Amino acid sequence: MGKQYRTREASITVVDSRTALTTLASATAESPANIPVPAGMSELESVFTSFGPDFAVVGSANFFLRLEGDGLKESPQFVPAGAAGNNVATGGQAVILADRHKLGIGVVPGNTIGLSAEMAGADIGTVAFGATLQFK
Amino acid sequence: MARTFLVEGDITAADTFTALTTRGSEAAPSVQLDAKWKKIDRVEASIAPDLTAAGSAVFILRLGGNATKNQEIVVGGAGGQLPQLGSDVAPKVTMAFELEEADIDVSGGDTITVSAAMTDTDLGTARAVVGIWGS
Repeated sequence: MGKQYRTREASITVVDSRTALTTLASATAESPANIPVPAGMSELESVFTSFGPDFAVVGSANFFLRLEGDGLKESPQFVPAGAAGNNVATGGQAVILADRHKLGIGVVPGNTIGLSAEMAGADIGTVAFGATLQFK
Repeated sequence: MARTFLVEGDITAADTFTALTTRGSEAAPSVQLDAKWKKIDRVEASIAPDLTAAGSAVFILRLGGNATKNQEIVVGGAGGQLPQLGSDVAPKVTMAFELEEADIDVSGGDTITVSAAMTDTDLGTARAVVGIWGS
């Protein structure tokens, strides 16, 4: 059986606060907030993360992902996603590639995994954040 | 023997999966995989917005259609502010995100749908190109 990929995203608007990743663009109805571990999968092989800050506020921040739930054999788990900063509130822009984080964590098919992301350090505005779980 | 497939297109609205259906000079290339396809081994995707509007977004690729179950993969993000009137901003360039060892089941002979979404904020027009390697 091939690998399975599940993605959620959200906007982080507050520093040092959990933001649940519960949506998937327009695919709301088919995407429950917490991700069910697909049938036949035994491992969370990797997580992919990316983010896009709007740099509306001067400052710098780091970003990380938290994974929780009974879909993981060991919970919680954490992944660093990156950091960003800007010294002017007019004109800061960035385009950022997604990054792969290898995990190798056991999962329980049918149970769920909840994702949340945080901006730590300073509030640098609104930050779109997305994460993909790669099951095998 | 490796096989490749490529489509590209424009994303012009936030929070909508937009089908990528063109291939440069080919306005409507076939999206039917030949019968020998069994697996997607690698995916490469590059998406960049023109940032003509301020905001923040991540870009999500979706592979679907009759050839495979829906698979969604985050491939990048972008954001920013518009510069002060009369100022310029350096262009932004991004290389392709590479998903190695993708190992996605496909059924050869069926059609594949490749779409992409810009989440959260409309940053203007984002250009997307997606390459798929199969066996």
